[in-house]
Amino acid sequence: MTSAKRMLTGNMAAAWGARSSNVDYVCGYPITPQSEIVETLAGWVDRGEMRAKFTNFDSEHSMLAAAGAASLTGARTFTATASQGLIYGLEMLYAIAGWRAPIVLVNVSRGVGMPMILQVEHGDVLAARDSGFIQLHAETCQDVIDFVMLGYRVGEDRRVMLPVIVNMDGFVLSFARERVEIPEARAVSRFLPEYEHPTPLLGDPEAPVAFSPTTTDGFVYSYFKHQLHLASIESKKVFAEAAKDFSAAFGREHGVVEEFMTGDAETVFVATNSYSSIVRSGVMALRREGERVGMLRVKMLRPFPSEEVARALGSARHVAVYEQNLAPGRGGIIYPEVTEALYHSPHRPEVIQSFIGGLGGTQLGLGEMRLMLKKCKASRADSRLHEPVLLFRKEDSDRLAEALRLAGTAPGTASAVRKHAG
Amino acid sequence: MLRVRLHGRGGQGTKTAGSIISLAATLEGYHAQDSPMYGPERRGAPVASFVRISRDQVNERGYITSPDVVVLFDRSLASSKAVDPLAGLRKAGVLVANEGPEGTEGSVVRIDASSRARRLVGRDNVSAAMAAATCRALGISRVENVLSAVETELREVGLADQDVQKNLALAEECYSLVPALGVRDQDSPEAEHALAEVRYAPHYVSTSLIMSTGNSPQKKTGGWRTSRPVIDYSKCTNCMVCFVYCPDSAIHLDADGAPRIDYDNCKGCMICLTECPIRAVSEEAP
Ligand code: SF4
Ligand code: SF4
Repeated sequence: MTSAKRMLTGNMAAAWGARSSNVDYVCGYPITPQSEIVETLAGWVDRGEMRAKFTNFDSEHSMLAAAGAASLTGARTFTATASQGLIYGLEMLYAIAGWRAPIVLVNVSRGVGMPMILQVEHGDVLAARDSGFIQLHAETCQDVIDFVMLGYRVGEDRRVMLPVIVNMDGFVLSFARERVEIPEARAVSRFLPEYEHPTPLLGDPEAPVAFSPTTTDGFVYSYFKHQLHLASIESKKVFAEAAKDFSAAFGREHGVVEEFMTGDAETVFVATNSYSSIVRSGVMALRREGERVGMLRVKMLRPFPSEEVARALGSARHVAVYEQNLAPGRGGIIYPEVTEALYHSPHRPEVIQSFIGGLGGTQLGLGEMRLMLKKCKASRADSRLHEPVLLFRKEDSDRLAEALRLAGTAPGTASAVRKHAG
Repeated sequence: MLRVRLHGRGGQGTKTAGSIISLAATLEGYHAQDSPMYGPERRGAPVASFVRISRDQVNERGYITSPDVVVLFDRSLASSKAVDPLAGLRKAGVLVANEGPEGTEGSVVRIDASSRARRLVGRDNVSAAMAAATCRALGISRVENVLSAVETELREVGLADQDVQKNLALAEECYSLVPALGVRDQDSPEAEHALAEVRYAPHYVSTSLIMSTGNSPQKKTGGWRTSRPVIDYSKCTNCMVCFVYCPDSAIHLDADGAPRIDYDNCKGCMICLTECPIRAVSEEAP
């Protein structure tokens, strides 16, 4: 296979990431908006275009159990899910990370009901943030394929041995086609060595190993949890090495963060995932109007790149943290992580303001960017900056009013009044 | 950046047309991105697709609210308030519509792609036809690259060889019918949207619950129809087979036991036509 540029959806790019990485085993269970990934892989395996074993499971929970176990036997294992599926399998994520099984899981972000939705919100993948998985969040279809390969390279490194989630946005990226370079097999083999588990399950019958012990001793538990943390921290260094080799092999640069026009920026927008593209174009538009703005895109969410974030934001006066998730009772999940990273910085920004938008795939545009900039400039250090500003369009508000009217719950409608009189 | 928004119904080829346009643009050296938008509904429900074409990296995503070009696959969508296909179309923006009579007036291009597709391909799937007409109107791609894109994308969705050939002929014909309008490349960003403030509301409002239960009849699913079943009562024997088989309970029996189709909700699946033992149901335009 030679290097080829093709129009691929994010989902197809994920499938190509698995195929290019020569995975041995694919565990699947369909869920919108991810199904295209496992369907594509199943087709390739079925037609003999890919030398791997494919199993379709009865749920995400069993799928993930099998994926982790397979990885321990020394099989390079790939799986994918989304939203409710990831949450349903959440228990197994902790197990896989505890087993230090370096699978790659592609999560296609979708809001978590209720109400049920198919479009993007990052509450699913961020619910897995404390599981021990490394997390790489993609902006483009090319990122998806790159991060799958980088994921195996970093996760399987003996100094790390951790599973990896590659995240992409449902619909906005999973179904969007862009020109993507499918890597050449020879370059892949230089970049990504064969996977071998150092102490494989079912390896040597004379010297069997067992994973997943149960302990009643806190010191045992403490020790291994802390080791998991140290492994995750170690992965940052390994990522940097891998990114260097990646650039040599494929010519594309990847850091744990990306800085865009941050150098002299007074206001920096923090963004993740595919909406970073929109933030980037908003930054360019505002720059044309003379505003000194920039963007910091966080690509690696776990381990959280605190030093890189602090360095990139240290000279800004205002930081607008834009995120597509909402933890009830907390606000944005990424906001406190950014703020904490900056607390120890010698030049702390005056204002770090939290913004929430794009929930369920609602739009982001220049209007929202302008509003965020205005709010940041008007904010004082003593205001309630952690209380997120919800970016909600007037036209969406009108459509909501119509939906509430249909549901009979709009204030003042007949059914609402009937049931709630007094 | 050129922003193209396509509106059609599931099954008409709206998504594939978007893929063809964007691939044709990339074959001419542009950066392009295409993405479809649809809900959980099935065939016949309104769908949209978006194509962005630029000389530089495309730094936009999701719904296109201020398109330079609207491509309308189904004239019945023009009057739909929910779809509102012309919403946000820029001044001097182009409309490419699948309807007769054919011709170009100002920036409106009409092409009867459905009739042409039925004649040349044998079915009303107009992805190749509408994509070719749009590429020509925009002046973004030469005919050979349009045809190459049609071939790649139709093979990708699994079309048989002979159908691909028929679609290539259709695309070539539609390409030649349309003048190159040469839409001006917009470098202005999409329109900005005013924001609303959201406050906490009482429980019955702020919980996602439905108090006017039984409101699904308000959703008229007949809007999803791409063809209309018509019963010939001079033949119909009132055997009730269609009444039993209609998966959407869109056929009821009147006082005389004759089947009546509820066109507000009939989705045009044509199961009644297939099941009618004496072929008393025919298929007509939606
Ligand atoms: S086409 Fe016939 S079977 Fe299908 S929904 Fe309409 S009436 Fe029912
Ligand atoms: S199946 Fe045909 S003949 Fe029987 S009731 Fe329906 S339309 Fe009439």
